[in-house]
Amino acid sequence: EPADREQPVNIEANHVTVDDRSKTHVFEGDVILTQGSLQIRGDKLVVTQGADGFQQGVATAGGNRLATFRQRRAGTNEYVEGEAERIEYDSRTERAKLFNRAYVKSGGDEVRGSYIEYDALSENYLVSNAPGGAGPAAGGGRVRAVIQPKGSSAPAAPAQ
Amino acid sequence: MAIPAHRIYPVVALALLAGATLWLERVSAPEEARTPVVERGKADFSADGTRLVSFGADGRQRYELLAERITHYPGANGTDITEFTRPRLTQTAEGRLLHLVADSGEAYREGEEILFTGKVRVRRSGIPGEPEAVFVSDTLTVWPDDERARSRTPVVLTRGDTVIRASGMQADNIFGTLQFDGRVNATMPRSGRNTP
Repeated sequence: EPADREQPVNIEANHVTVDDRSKTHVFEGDVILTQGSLQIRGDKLVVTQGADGFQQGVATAGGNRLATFRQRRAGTNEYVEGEAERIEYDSRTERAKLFNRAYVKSGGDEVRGSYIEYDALSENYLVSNAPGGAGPAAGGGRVRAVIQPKGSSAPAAPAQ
Repeated sequence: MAIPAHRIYPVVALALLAGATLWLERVSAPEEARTPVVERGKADFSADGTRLVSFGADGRQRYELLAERITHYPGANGTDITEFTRPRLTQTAEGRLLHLVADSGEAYREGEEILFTGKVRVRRSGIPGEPEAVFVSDTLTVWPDDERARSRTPVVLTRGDTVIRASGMQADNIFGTLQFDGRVNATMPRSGRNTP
């Protein structure tokens, strides 16, 4: 959602540690990052802040839980939703990188893999079984994708 | 003549109730209000338009504390209290200048601990390229020698366009690291985008 870009980043948490030397803010406990329609949730969020504001956030979840993100798609009321063990969001490139047990759902399309990169500008996402696409993922998992034929919303059988 | 139990019972019950209330009031009062334990007696001196300067062992100034008035209440075993009216504290920490103003302040144990209350406002200069930080709350306890501070009342920290709101804060190295508690809310401007 392009309008998101102009919004400030708002973050809620139970506890925050601000370290001046490393210019990091560590948010812990039921963390919710909101920027327009973009929302990232997790148990911990480490934010790097430049002189001019929010730069990058790395969200993780504790135990077996996953960090999640969702963002409205441009000009629609549909949301792109994703989850992973670690989600890195960079406000300069406006990309979300999902690591390990990554899953993204957009309309009827779904992709699952070890690494998914979602570009909020182009609303495209790249999925591979390892960051950078080289070599098998730790779990040796395969990429799974369900891509809907355009103009239909009925779920099709998953493509292997 | 033995007093029947049913006569004594109300007295005992009331005594227990009174004791419990006193204990509850003592425990639930914020820690700042419970210090010092010794009720203050008569002031032994006061001064108007004061300037207190503290120097470290190396001879460098640690902090300067101005006040419209100071009033000293003696106390045994380091329980004396120095009260400040409209204190203004200036301290240098890690090359940054810190200015604090408040309605009033109380120094305990020869200034080892100072509790500031009433419209506490702290401004800390940034280093080049970094905006200054402004902290606002109703109370702030400062340990100047340890370069530590703590507030148990709702706080707002503003730095540039970033605003953090919380129900309490602890600062080490006078704002070198800050810990915020309660349901914390932070608003940050986003950085500029990469030009496509």
